[in-house]
Amino acid sequence: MNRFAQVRLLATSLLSLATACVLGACSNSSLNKTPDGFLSQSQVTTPANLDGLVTAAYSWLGNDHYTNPNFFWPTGNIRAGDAHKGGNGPGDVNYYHLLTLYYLVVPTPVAEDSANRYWIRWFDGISRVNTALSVINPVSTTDYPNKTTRIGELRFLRGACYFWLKIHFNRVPYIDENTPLSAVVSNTALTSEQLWDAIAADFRAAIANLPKTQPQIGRANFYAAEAYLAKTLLYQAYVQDPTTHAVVSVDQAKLAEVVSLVTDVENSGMYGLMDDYAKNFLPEYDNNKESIFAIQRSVNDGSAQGNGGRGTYASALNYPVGNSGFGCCGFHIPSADFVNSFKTLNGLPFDGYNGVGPGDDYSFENGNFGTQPVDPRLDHSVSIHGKPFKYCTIAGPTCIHDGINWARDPTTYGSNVGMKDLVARNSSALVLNGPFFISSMNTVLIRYADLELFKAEALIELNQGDLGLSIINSLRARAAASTGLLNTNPSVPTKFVYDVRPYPAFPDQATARKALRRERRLELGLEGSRFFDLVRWGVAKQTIDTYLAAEVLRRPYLGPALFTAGRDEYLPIPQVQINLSGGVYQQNPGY
Amino acid sequence: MKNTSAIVATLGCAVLCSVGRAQAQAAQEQPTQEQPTAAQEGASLTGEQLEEVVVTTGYTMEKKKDVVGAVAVVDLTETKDRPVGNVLQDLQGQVAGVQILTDGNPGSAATVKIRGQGLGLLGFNAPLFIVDGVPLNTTTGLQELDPHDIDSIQVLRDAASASIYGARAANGVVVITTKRGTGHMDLSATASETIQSYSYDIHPLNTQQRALVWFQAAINSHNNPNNALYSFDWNHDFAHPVLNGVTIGQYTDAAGNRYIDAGLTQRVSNTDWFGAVTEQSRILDSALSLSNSTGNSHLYASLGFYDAKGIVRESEFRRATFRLNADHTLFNDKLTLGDNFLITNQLENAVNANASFILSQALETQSIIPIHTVDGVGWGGPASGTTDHRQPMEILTNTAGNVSRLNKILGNLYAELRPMDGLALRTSFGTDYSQKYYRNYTPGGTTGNVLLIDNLNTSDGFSRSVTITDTADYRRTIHEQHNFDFLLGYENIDYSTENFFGTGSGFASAADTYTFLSQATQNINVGGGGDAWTLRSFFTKLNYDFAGKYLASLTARRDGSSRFGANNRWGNFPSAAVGWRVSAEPFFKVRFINDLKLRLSDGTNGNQEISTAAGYTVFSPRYSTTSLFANPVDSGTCPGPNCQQEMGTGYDLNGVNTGTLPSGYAKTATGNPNLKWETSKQLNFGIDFAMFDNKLEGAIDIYRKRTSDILTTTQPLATAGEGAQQIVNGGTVENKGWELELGNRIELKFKHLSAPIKLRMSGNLSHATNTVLSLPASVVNSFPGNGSTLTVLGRSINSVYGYVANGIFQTAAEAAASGQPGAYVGGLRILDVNHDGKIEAGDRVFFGRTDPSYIFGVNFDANFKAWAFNMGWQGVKGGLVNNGFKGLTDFTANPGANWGGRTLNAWSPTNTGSSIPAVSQNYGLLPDSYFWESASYIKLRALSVSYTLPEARLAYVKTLRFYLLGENLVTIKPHGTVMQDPETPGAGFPVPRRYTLGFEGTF
Repeated sequence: MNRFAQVRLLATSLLSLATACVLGACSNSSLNKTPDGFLSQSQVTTPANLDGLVTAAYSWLGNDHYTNPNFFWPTGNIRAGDAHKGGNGPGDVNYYHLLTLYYLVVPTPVAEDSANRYWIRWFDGISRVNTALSVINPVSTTDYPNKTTRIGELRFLRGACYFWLKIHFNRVPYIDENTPLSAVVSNTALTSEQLWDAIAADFRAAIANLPKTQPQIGRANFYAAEAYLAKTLLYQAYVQDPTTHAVVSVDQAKLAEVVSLVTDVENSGMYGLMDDYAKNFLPEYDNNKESIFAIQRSVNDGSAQGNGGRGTYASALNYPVGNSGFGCCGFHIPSADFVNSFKTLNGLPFDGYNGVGPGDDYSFENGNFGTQPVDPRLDHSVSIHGKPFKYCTIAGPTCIHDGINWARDPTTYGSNVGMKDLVARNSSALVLNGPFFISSMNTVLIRYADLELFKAEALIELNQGDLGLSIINSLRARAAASTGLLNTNPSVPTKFVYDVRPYPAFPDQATARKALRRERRLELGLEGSRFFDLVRWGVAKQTIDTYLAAEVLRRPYLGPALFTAGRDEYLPIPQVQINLSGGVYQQNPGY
Repeated sequence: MKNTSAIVATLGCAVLCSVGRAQAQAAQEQPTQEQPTAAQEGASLTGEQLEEVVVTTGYTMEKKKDVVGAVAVVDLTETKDRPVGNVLQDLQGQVAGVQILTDGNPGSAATVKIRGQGLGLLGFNAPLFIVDGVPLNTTTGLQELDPHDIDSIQVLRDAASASIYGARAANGVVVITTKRGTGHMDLSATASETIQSYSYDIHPLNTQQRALVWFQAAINSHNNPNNALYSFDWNHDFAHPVLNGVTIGQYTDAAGNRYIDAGLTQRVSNTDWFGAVTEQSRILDSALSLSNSTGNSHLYASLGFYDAKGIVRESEFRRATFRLNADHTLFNDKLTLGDNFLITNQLENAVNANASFILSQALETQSIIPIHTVDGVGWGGPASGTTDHRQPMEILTNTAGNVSRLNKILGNLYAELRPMDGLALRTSFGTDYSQKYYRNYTPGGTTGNVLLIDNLNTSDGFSRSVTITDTADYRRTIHEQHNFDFLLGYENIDYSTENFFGTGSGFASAADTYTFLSQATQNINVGGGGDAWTLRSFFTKLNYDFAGKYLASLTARRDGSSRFGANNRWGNFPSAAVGWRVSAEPFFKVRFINDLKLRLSDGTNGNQEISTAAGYTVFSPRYSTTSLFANPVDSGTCPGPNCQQEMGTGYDLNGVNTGTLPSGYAKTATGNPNLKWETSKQLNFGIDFAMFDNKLEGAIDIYRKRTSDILTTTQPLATAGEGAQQIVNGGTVENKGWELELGNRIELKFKHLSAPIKLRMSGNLSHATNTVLSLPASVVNSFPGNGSTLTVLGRSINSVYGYVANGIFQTAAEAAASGQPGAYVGGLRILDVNHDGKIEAGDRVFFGRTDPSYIFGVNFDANFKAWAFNMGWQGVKGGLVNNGFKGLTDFTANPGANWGGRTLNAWSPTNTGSSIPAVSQNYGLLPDSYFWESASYIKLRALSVSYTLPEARLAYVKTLRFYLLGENLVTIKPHGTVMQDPETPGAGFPVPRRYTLGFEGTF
């Protein structure tokens, strides 16, 4: 073959190769592949799909988990001394152990930092709201008839989210639907007061946009927004020193607004106290008249892989273990101090309820069930060795609390079980998911009794103690009447002695205040608000010191615990977020 | 030498090429008289042999001696008798600069790290695997291949060698070529049986010992020691405790037997859990092959069967393979048509995936728990006072029947036209098609006090990639000394995958023959997904040499990927390499050096391994995301990191508590339309040499590799919201290192021996460092450090950070003065790095890294007449591994768990020399470094002897060889290393000791 022929053949070969390429799948268009199985932003923002973005924002309420529960048993109860972490020793969910000892002085910049998880999750919730708002705002009400209501609901959800961030972290960056996603907004750009105002503004916008009733019970309505605004203003009324967190003044005008907001809810006629306290903690009474706003939980709801669905994952660790009939995991163990605080003297709470040592505890081991009078709300709140669990009426260790046999690590934490967030073993609301138990019982975020106590607190701080007295006494009267499901187990020979009576009068504001604060602990115990109450009142340090001094005699693991005022009222700003902000975020005082 | 051509023949030529083909044919035309023996084949070839060895360097083949890149040819003769499920395991210790991480799991996944793990958690680290020219979609290995079918493995380490593979070659390329027909109707059979075993040295506490250690831990923590399992008779004086006795198990039956449950079903036991869950196990490995070569056609067909049971009871991996490699030359050598095809079917049970959890449970589960309840049927399990995890025998038994089945077709059809001298036009159509079916059923019921719901998960899916490759290769020699080889090519890869799953529960029977989806009565659910991408490439290569003295190779590849935005879709990957054979120069007069070649190469490779959605902001309905947390036992059914339930979009707005809920959409990721290739530039300098009459030969390579625009996921500021994480191009990591390979061959002749003893030694040693030069601010925080002054920048990406252990507090006063949270006498002291009198965040430092400093392997062979001996050592020096078991072997903080025997020797006022902290139920802050141990080890990987029957001893038998092989017989580790095997720390599936007896015959 001569050279020319060779070159020609080579050229022809290359040309045919190129032709094959063109004829084959060689066009550039096949490199344009959109990802499979996803929706683009333009697809989700059609008017038909807008409700889906709002539903996703609601769904975030129920997307909680034991590592960041929207029922604050770790940050509200454990940290306040109403409960111990429980579980399998200090190493089991160690972050909550550190929370108990006030050891969060070592903010860590890695993902194991649970505070970072709380922070991220709540900002995720805010982002669901902001995404929906930014898409809905420009759509006309003609195209989207629900626009006004949905905006009200979204503002409500965002307010709730910032409220939680505020009481946990104090200083957080405030971003709304107009903030660019890439913006780094300082957590101190707003003062504490301005941040409260921003939260209140969301609830005020919700009030302005929401109907009094909603066709779907899970959606926020006008009164839920009023109740949340009252709660916000009550917290805001106690003005704190930005460094020491000491309460420096109480804003009377805000308290007055709290009173008027709560009165408006009262006057709606839609809400009130249930006849029996128990009905607030039984799944068959979900969305009762005492439930002003609740996280709607569900089971057997078609969720992938497991029937737990959208149930109470927040409480999944809290069921008793051993031969209780439940399998996991023994967390959230009410403290001896909490149990003892239900003791009554002449039907009223009293100082010195702890006695001097474990021998004075109200317990099966000390044999004082038949003699020591207690507030019956104890037996709605705490399952104690020897007592029936959740009003059960049969015999045997799956019904009657069997002491250390129901406990994971009784040596460290004892064997009590916090009951309010749990349901009975035979409840149809309960399902097993893996080894965990999940129920469809709602998590009530604002209960009418809570709201009433907001009002009583405001009235007492406004020096109208007599009006507060009647509210407190109405709760005590309901407590006294709430024994129908207690003392009914025929296999328990001991009859528990209940004695709870109204306060005759409040001779002065200090007495009234003390009564109010005790009443909140008894009425709302283990419902996740105790620590935030203590911080609001500015008494966290003294209360926790007193608690630790008594409880350490019973639970030696608390030995190293020390609450540092001016620091431990709030969680540290997650170091990861400070780093990611490029140092724009300021760490909280003391850390 | 006659056997040289045989070597060429066996090296073969999957990606067809003129030179290799011609030589292979030459070999077939002159059938060899003697088969090469083990000692004659392989990497340490003599200079003469080197002349002829042909290596596949990407779409073409070259003579090994003229290669100017860093290409390692694996010597398979050293390892071919090892009964591995994954041929990559054979590479361990065999190739300089290549580290293989594997374990004893019969599923035999192996992670290949070429030249140090480049990016660690930052990015993608797996090399590209090419089998007979078809790129695979795998990162962990080649379990689907039968190692008996493999003819050669080459590892392309430097950029110049790998750059012909462009976009996916950043982590190196492993090129595998399977066998082609040789000989005349050779029927070969090989079979071996292996016995493997492992014995733990953790010695978990027995029931009596645990009670006593528990007592001491409770007393040290000032806790009441009585719990549901033990009641202690003691003097109730924490300062001076006196223990009179202990009652174990608080429930008693009429006969006085003690139980741990009120129902009297779980008798107090003394279970040896490690003994229960492990067993001596067998591997059967067999293959039958037919190999034939006539003048113009070649056929290789094989059947293989491999059945490995692991030392964790019930763990099993089974594989059946069928391979057909054939080609036929037509039209007077102008056209060749051929194929390489593999059909494989494999089966793996869920115990393999659960094995680490089962082994960790074997330590964690207290010996007091019986395997079975007293009726001998029910399972023993958690009770008051124990952890709430399922016990290992129950997990093992209930998951053994859950098998995943994989069917795969891998191979290509090709045609090569040679219209004129030196020109080869080739087109190849390749496919890698897998279909995987998995049925996973967990029975309900109780195990101890843990309740389980039954659950079935069935999934099916396929993945398919179609590779079309067209090349034109033109070779020409001008004026006898100028040799050119010019290649042009085009390649298109289309990948797609789809899958679905169904779940359900409420089965009336737990029998394997009943638990199908249609029999579910509750919680019936389905799901599914899909993904697709395309990669299109053009490439060219020019090789030139002048008289074998001056060598050059230029490569360029242009890749377009559908994964990247339109603006940055295409990437260019050029490289250049030059070589100079100094020994061929007239002025080179060093007598003892037979061959000396210098090599220099520089080039760029890429990486495209990111989510196909990375360029797009996407929303997705996520009705509900599964479980409370990813239970390892359920990991087979749980879809990865989304297992936690906190990302759902369904919500019970109607308050009805059940039924189908309203659901919306959430943003799942933020797109980055500006994404582009990750590129790594690598400079390599190498020296190849042969000395002393080619008795000593070797290679040295020094490299620097800089990977930039690393494709990595940001950790955004939380305020950016859900789905704000993005894949970005960010960060630069530099790997530097060197590799040394040496081979030596001598013959010893003794007067009284009739034949010489042929000895061969080969070894390799390599060193690699890793340094992070830059990272985006949003990524730095994903790595250890304090985020500001101490970060991973300037250190290895695999750096380890935390508090450093500094002995034990010998007195209470010392503990009290330490400023260390939770300090106590007998407890571990943390180093006060900043000397401020307290232990807090500032005392965390970088105290090591997981990268080994050196990896090495040494092989010795000896041949005497028909006998051959082999010994292979392999090791790692430097680096740290996390001994996850230490939390239970050395500490008693987990009150429901069992603990290791080491706690018996913990510090106490009468045992102050101990380095194990005093037992406690509350240890306070622990030093991180206590859990990290040296990763160094040296292992005797293999010791074997084989005997080849002299030829013609038996009728119809061409060759027959028997061998006996022992593996992992010796492990040497630094003094003080607590973990048994640094290669598989913690609950890793241990690499067992193995003994194999096998034969190999050709008929």
